[in-house]
Amino acid sequence: MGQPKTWKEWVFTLDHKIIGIFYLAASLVSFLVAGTSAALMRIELGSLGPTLTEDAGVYNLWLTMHGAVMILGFQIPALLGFFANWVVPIMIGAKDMAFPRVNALSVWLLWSGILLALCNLIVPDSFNGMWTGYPPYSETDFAGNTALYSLIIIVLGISSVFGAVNLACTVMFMRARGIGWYQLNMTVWCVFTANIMQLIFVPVLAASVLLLSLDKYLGFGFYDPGQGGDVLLYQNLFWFYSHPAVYVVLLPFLGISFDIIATFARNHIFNYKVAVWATLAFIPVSSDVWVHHAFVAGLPNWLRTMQTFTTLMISLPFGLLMLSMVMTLYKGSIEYRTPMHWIVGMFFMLIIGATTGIPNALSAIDYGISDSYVIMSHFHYVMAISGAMAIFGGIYYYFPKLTGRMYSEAMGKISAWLFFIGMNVVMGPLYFIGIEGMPRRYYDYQMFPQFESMHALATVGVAITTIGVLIMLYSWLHGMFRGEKATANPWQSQSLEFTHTDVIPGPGNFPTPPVMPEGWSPYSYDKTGAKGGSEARR
Amino acid sequence: MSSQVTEHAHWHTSPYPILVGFGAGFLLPWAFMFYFVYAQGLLAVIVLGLGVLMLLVGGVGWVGETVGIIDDEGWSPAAMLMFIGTEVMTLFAILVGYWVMRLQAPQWPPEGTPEILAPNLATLLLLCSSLSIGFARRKQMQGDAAGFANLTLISIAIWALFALMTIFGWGQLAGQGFAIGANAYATALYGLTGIHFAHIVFGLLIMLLALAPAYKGRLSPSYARSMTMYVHFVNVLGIWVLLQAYYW
Repeated sequence: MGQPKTWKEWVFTLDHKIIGIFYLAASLVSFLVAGTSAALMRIELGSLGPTLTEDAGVYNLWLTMHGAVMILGFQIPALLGFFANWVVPIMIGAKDMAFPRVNALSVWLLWSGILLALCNLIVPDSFNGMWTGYPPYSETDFAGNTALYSLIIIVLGISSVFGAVNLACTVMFMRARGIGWYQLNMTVWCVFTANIMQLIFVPVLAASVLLLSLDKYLGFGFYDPGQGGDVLLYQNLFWFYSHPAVYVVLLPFLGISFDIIATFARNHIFNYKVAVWATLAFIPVSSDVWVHHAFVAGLPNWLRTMQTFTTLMISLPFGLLMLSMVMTLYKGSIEYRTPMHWIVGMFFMLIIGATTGIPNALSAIDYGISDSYVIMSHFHYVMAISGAMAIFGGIYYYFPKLTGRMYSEAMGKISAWLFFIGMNVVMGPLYFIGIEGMPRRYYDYQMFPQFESMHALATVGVAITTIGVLIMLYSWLHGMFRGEKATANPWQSQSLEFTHTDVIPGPGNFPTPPVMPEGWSPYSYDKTGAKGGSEARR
Repeated sequence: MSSQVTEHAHWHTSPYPILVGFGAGFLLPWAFMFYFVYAQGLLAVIVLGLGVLMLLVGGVGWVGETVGIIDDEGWSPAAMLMFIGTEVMTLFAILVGYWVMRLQAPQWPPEGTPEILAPNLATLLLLCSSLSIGFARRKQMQGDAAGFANLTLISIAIWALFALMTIFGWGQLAGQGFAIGANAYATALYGLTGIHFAHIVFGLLIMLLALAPAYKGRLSPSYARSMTMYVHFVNVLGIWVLLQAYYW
């Protein structure tokens, strides 16, 4: 079995799989912190007037922790940390990442960033400027410790950049003999593309928050009109990264979903090459979508019209990926194990999120719904919930390879459905009261008493989701210690991480460096073998 | 399948990345916050000292484990190219801030800006380091370890001198009352030269870490090539800062 034996082998590890597990641990801790913040907010909003706190500043702290930690501490580390680290090198037949020490540095920088984020809960002047940190508010004393906010993002940004360079080099230089670019798993393509986007966009975010602290603490004036600066500059720089960040999260979870669907449908990826190029198309297309975040900030009409079209352009590669995903199911021999339940749920949420995104891109409509619950509900569907469902589906998918044991199918499926139903009960009602005018980020809504019942319903949804999450966590713990022993390839996948490794892959991943025969593909499921394979698993 | 291999498996470990990670990622941010946010000078110095110590011990140990022992078949230059790409994007964001400020200003430089001489000599001096590091690399390719190390040392000396000249220049400007918050030009000037200065410091660290292995003739070609790329990049950045901040 491939697990280190001593504490030194764990703590000082340079192995990509153990580092991946550290990323996973960090992301799950972040999920619990950010999820608890969300639950507190929802309880607070469940009825009119103060419920848990009378201090709106405390509510702002929960809001800030929820947004920043969920994106920067949970989703990106889970997708570009855990999956990128644990899965990608094995999928390409590599023994490790290109730079193992840099890889270890990346994960410890991530943990430093998360510890800094947790410090925000204990410092006397917690930063409460939301995850966006807009000036001029964030440059005032009311916002609290802006330096902490800037430094968290800079530290996490450096971690991301090192991780992205490492992964890109790994995919470029360390593929096993016989594995060409068109023989890579979709997870590899999607993670690779997301990392290239990280390299392009993260530095801009880091620079934007650096200037924020330079302004506030050293007296610079980049965002201060009084000193010749421009406050809207921050909004543009921030969203230049932060809208593509949606795709940095989206692509890897689509990649994992593709692999899970192919395995459980026992089918090749439909239109594989088109899907690959659609994935790559996200890089140029996503570089010109940020301006729609400034539609209501006073843009000239010609620019708003143009940016409506450039924003809608993202639908093209996205649509091609969705087509490939659906058609991969077509004529497949589909088996609904727990990972598939999570992924099917993810697909539903993603489509809701995508279709509710189209009106947001239309500047005329955006004027009416900007800063309302419509936007909040949309991005939770398209990125937060669907992303989380794909991540949890992926964890279940790789659970046997991580622990050497199987989880309980019943508990896995129940948790998936409770999560799915719960989050729909949260976000569905909120979308509709958003259309009727419920604004985002409000601590209370005394001026909108008619929305109280919908808020109460959404709070019930959080309770259902929480039960689902608790069952999921219990199923992992139970499986880890009491689960049935797993086999090396419990899903009969054709991908290298299942076909060529031990139950838990050890150091170096493979007993001998794999050399793949001509025409090999991680999706080589033949039609006649599909049913046989499926029956064999039963 | 591979149980025989994994039972006798050797897990690669190193204590240095964790030292560098928490030193740079946790302690240095707290040093900044203790000083600038909480005005706790002594605490800031202690935390800064601890952070720098962890960085140095980690960095030296890391170099000892890898430089000259591990050569990555040329992957480091590719990684350095990507890293420089991210640097370009960082600088691009800051330059956008400068351009917005500059183009919206009714008068440039704004009122209250003293006569500032462009640092032509310092920049020319900086460019000499491109020559010295270029020749250093040629010496390494010819197998002349001592020549390579000596020329790297000369490059370090040039950069250190440039860094001192930058600090001296800032001191002079501040002495004339032209401090950071004086006006928009002060923001631009200190911002651009400050960012360049940070790159100089980082580059000095890269070259200093390479010096001892270089004298022993152990520096890997991929490290040397990456280091050279970085030096050239920072020098080009120096010219760009000169043109943007002083001649526009």
